[in-house]
Amino acid sequence: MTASKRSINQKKLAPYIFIAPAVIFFCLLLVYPILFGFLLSFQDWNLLAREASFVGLGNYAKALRDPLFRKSLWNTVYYTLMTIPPTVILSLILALMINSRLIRYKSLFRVLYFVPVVTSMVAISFVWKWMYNPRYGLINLALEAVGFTGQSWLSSPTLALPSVAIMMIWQSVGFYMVLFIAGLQGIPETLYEAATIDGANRWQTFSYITLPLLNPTIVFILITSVINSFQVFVPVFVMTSSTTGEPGGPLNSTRVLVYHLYSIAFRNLDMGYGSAIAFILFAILLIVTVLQFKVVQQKVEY
Amino acid sequence: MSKKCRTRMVQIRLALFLTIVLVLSIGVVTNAKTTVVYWQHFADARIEAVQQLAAEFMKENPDIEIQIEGIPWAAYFDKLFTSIAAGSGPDVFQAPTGLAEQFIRSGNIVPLRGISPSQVEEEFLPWTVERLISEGKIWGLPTDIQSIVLFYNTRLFKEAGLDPDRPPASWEELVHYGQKLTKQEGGRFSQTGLDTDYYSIVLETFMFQAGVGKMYDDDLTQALFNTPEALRALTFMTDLTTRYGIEDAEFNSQDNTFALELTAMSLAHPVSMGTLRLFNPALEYKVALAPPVNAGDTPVTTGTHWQYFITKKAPQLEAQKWVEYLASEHAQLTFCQVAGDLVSRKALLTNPKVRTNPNQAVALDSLEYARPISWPGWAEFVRLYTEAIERVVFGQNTPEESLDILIREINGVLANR
Repeated sequence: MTASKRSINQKKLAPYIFIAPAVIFFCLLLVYPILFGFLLSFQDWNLLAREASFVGLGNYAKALRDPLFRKSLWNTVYYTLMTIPPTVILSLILALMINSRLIRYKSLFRVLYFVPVVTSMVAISFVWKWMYNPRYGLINLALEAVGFTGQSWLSSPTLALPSVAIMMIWQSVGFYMVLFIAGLQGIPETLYEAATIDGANRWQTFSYITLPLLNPTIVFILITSVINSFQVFVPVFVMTSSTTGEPGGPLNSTRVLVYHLYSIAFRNLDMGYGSAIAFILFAILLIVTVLQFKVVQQKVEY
Repeated sequence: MSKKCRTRMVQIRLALFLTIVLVLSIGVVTNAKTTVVYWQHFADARIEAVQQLAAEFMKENPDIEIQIEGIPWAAYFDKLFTSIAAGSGPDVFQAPTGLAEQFIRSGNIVPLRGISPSQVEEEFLPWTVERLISEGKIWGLPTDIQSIVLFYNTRLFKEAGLDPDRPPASWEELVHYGQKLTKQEGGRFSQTGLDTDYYSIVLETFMFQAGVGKMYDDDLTQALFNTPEALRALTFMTDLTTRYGIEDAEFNSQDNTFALELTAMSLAHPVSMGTLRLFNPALEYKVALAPPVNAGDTPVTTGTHWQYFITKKAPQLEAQKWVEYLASEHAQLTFCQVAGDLVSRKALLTNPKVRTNPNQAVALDSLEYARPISWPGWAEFVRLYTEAIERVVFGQNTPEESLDILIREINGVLANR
């Protein structure tokens, strides 16, 4: 082999060597566990037992028969429906306000609304758990101060999941607001100028220019927020745990899919069934995401 | 120097070198300590006691190093199960009673050597080792002994005109006292008579008191308590909320209402004494045996404990030595004095050193009336029992329907094993 050929080969090889560590870590820490989990979903394996047996689609069939799985799935869907519309609408309103020329101290507001996003979810959950305390919590004190009756937020089967949802809306609105601001700043100013010259009012400007041109941002936000909502775990685990019972109560009213999966796999030690639930969740998210792309995405050109 | 002479010199040097290496190696080997990795879930007082015991143990056994890892409760089982499954976990660890059979059958732990079950039954309260004996072997030793006892606020008793030296002696009296101790203002509770926290183990205690016999078949494949006695227990427990109104799902949730003097009586584990000391040291309360169904009946309570197990990968001799030390009279006395634990060694039950506090003495007496918790599992049983209570309390089902569901669900869990 001549020196020049060797040099060319080395040059070709160099990028692969540079990306090798990342690829190796990616394969070891992501691809391998996913494949292993997928194989596990076809097996009956108690974490403490040494042997696993192949059960085919048995674990998937078990999920269909399991009333607690159905309850967890419904709770997750209900939670998603409760959180997404208010989160998207609120974050868009905040983004429009902060992006407006009329508002001063924009950076301050951006920081204030973004603080919950960078705060530990566990810490936030603990603080809100105290705020929801029926006796000493800030929320009931505020309600009672204006003449309303305080509620048993986390101990009522009807209020517990909405209480978690309210907290999550507050926590995530800042993140989507920043995305909306980025989307708004990407809309050319000339379009607004042209609309003003044509005599468009504010609502027409918003509905015919801002909203259509925000479509890619809205699609991205809807997809990521649905995925995040389906994967909710920490607030349920922290806010509904008690010293004498399992989280997810009262009466399984806050038992969401990821907590159910965790409970099956790491509490009941049924790793095969737990893995099957994880892949059912993956399939649901895949279908929902594809549908969102089809339904929400529009091609807008001006 | 001749060639032969040079060869001889090389041989001598080599022999000297090897001898030095050998001597050094022996030195290293003899100085090497065997490490025993020990895991328990984190609780300040218990960790303090274990650290004290480990220091004493290592002083007595300079060739053994005890490495203690206190793991937060929320993460304890995740780490324990996964590490044991991966073969990389601790050498000695704690696990709750309900998991005893699963661990024994799993092949991940080893029995204690040179100790016979009869010897253990002789030294410990039999119910604390009952579930640790299998195939004629003893698989672990008990720790963290608990029962269910009645805590009652003597100040609130006096305020309600009740004698603080006469706790309720029957279910009927429990209800009667509870009603006297419950207060409402503007249609809302301002004080409740009782808090059971809808605790699964309190339900099991009521079942034992109501006369439920064997709870599961020998193969642990079927629940046997679809009986009138179990129904009576579930009905009584839920009636405390729905019929007698002395407990409330919303009022009693989240806070420790007994510590806050918002609840006059509480059925809980004796370990709660430590919590009360921490939250409200000025609280005036007493501990009594959990009242039986009828006055004069032999008291019954549910006994729970954890146990020390040794994993397959552990250095057996050293690990067993540590386990035996942790379950020794000296260690139990230390746990009792430092962490407020109860004891399981018969010889200690009458020891004045563990009976200095009258409340602690009552808790110790309760151990004589304890039946070990029946669950052949852990988290799923806690959930299923709690749901059985909540279904009735929140008006979703009648006690009969809820008990049927409980039995069906438990049998489902057992069938999947």
